[in-house]
Amino acid sequence: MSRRPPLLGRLALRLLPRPHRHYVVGDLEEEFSESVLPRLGRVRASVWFLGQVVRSLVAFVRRPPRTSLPTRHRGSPIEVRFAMRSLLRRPAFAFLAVGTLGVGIGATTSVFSVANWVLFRPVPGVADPDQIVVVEFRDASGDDAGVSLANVNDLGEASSALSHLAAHTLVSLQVAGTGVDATSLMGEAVSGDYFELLGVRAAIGRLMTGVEAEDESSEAVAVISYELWTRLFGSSPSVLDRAIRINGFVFRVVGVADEHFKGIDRIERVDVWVPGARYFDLRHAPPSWGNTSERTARFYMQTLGRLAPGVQAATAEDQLRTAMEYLVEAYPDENQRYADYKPTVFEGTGAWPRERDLHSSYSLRSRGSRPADRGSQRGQPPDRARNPASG
Amino acid sequence: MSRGLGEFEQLMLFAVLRLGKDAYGVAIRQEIARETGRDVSAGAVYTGLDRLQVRGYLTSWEGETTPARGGRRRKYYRLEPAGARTLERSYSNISQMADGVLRQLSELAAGDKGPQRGRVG
Repeated sequence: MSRRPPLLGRLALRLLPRPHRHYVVGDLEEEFSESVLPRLGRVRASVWFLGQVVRSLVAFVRRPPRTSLPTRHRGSPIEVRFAMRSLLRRPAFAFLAVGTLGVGIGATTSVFSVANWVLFRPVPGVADPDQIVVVEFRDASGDDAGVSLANVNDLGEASSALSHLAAHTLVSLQVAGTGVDATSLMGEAVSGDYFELLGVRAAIGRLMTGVEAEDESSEAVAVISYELWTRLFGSSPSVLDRAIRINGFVFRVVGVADEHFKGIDRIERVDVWVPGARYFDLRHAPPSWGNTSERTARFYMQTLGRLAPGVQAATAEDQLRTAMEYLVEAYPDENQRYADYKPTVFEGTGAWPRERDLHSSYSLRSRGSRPADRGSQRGQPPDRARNPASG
Repeated sequence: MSRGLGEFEQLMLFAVLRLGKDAYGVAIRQEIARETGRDVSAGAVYTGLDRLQVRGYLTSWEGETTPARGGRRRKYYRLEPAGARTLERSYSNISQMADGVLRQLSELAAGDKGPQRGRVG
């Protein structure tokens, strides 16, 4: 008959930490074979041995941890075991610590996910976002003013540094139609250059023309998002030329935007694009707002530009400022305020601010965005800027 | 300031003292079991001895090996003066407090057998 204790117990004892394992195993084997086995017989001695194994393991797990480890164990597996044992001995603390870490990591991950979504990711569906800049009309105190589509177009014409200049603004829309449930969604009123500036294409149908976008007397048309087309119209091509009711006005759907394009606002997903000329109608503006085609009509729009290849934002800003000075001279009554509110170019690089307060500090890509540095350009008026009034 | 000794620690130190040159794991365990009836595990003995050694109350050295131990050496312990002083102080504190009340203690213990589980019927 073997005088050795059961294999299971001997294997379990391997869990004990060194150097104690050596002596505990020796003691238990000695006692088993010399005193317990002769006294109790194989079965009961085995039970005794297994009981000792379990209790010894428990004793080691529950032993009070040292307050610190000798420095020679720093970074070793012993330190990991030390940490695990310390935690096991204080389950409430361990739960709290792990819970705190979990909440902290979760919160950080969530915040970063949102920040990444809002600030850092390229806006989907936009071609070459690095060339895109935001143009604002700011006075010395940093306050900004809206601008009319007529002025935006003249500025765009005058600036060779910008290949396009377009305006856009978010507007809440109620959409309804035959066979379409009334839906609240976010729309965007845009100027004629908007889609071309962003390099957006139509998935089906077409995008709106410049005349449709800016002439109030032309037909009211709308472009819808791919997502809305799928959700509300079952991806049916019959959506084209279909009449839908938006904020009480009838619009004709002329196209569906590219699948990836969801507008350029990083927070709001846009589902319908409507002509900028319809903005006052859709807002049910009072008569005092006047007509969208008037030079005095002020839109609280964001103005986007696309830099011509190889051109610096500072050059564009100088050109726009010179052009705006001409516009103030040419239309002194209408444009008087822009003697103070000067075009300011932000290197948006595919990111657009929503809140005025963010403008001075938003940083949208790793290299940041900032008002164009005009230091080296000052005093060198752009040669191609011309007076739009004379053109 | 030295920490006081727990009951189990006192038992182990006394066992080491009683065993003299023969104080190693198995003997200490058996000594405690024989004198107090307490069956402590080998693991508990070693974690306790280790703790006392860290505090400077014991020293240890490796002894001989036997076939029954599978070639593993014994670990012997000896009580150090610091341990002896602490044990003496600890025990004398208890003795002082017990002095004159032991009979009363015995009577109390004998008179009240603790909360009894009443058996009905």
